[in-house]
Amino acid sequence: MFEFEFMRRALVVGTMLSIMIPLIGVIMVNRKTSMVGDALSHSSLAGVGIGLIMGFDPVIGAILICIVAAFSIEKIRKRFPQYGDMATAITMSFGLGLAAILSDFAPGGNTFEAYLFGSISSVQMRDVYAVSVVFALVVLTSIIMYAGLLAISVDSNLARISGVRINLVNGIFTLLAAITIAMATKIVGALLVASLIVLPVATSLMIARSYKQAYIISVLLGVIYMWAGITTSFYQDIKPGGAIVLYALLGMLITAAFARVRKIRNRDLENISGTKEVL
Amino acid sequence: MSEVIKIRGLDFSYTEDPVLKNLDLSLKRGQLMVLVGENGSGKSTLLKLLLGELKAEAGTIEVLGEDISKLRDYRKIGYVPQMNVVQKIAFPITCIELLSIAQYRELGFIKIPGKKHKLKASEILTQLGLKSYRNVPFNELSGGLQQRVMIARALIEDPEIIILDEPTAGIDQDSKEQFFQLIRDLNQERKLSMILVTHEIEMVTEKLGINQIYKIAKGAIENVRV
Repeated sequence: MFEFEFMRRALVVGTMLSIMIPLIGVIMVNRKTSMVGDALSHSSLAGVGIGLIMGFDPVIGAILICIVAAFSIEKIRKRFPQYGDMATAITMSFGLGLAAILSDFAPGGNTFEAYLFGSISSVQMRDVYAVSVVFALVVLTSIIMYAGLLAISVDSNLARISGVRINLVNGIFTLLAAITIAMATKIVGALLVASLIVLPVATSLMIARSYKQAYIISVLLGVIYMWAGITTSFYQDIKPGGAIVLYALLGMLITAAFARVRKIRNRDLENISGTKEVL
Repeated sequence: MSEVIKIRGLDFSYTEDPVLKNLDLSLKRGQLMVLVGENGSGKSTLLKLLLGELKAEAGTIEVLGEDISKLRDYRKIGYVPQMNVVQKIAFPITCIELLSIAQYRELGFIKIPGKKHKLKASEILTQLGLKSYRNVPFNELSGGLQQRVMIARALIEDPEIIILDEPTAGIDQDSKEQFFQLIRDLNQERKLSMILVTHEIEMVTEKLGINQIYKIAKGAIENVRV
């Protein structure tokens, strides 16, 4: 498959996305805001529709709509903190409703559908350049703001007292999350991006014994699922997004079984030795 | 003794009814102040005002001689939150990681804790008898141990004042006794000034050996001898 240029492009972009998305996902899952990723990816479809109708790159439309949607969620959540994820539901409803209407006017039904479930053949050289820039930004930001992002995940008030500039860190994170999710719609698909945000992280949380481990395992799993999904998509002629998500689910089930066996074995060992440590 | 916290004429309300009204309070250096009050009496609101989470409508708050509205650096205040905040930490973060990121101000441009920060975190945990839990995920600890770790976290930047917001709510009796013993030791040995908000009046007076508590009622503070 490496002899095909479109496959090389898809694998390069896919690898970068599979590192970026879990980096964003770890923060979202730990902050209990993983549904925000779902809302953003669904809302991005409205941007895809605008791009197709207006005749510019649909990914640019998706990025713009995602940024607006992400900051709208933050604003509504701050205005009505007592209503939990209501902000996410409102934004997703608006985005999906708009996308449904725009899809009727978008030229080429197949093009719009490609953004629903992803497509490996649609990745262009300009996508490689654009994703490379955002990849560098996301990785650098994750390193530079590591402690700030982690501190806010623990508790935003404790983070503020420790000196974290909450609004700045949150603002940068929200912006990069929106751009990453919008870019992933092309290869993973708008309906499936949220799965790649959550599943590698959920799997890593079953076995990780520290935050650093959770970070590393999530990224490794993301890369494995992406490569497996794209390769399967090429050889079996199925949609890449679906293949990636099914591999991620399979990985989560295997890990859950492994974690369960490990727990039972540890319990048995403790019973035999009688040295159970009470934490 | 000098005052480390000085509050004068403090007013605050969420709606039309005032929560705090013309409240005065002084915490002296090395004092352990136990603050009680019914639910909704304004205890947590007072702490939020002290920690800069809320802004007063009238009155002044001075922390270590500085007006709270101008205070940007809270490293002189250590804060131990309620158990419901602590129990929300559901992901695997080790005790060392938790204490390392609490030294945020000490980190450079790249905010990744280094050896120096991990060593300091390890030292504090060891001092509080938590050495064996350094690399254990925080969410696997019992409630009592979690609150001891949160005390260690509050001590990491060598504060002069510790504020504890109902730290023992929801933890077992033995852990509570050990926790209050630790509070007493910190207050007496390190001469830390402390505000402890609690409902455990009997245990506090017995374990901390104090005979005067402060009660918030109707927006003001009154001394109660027990």
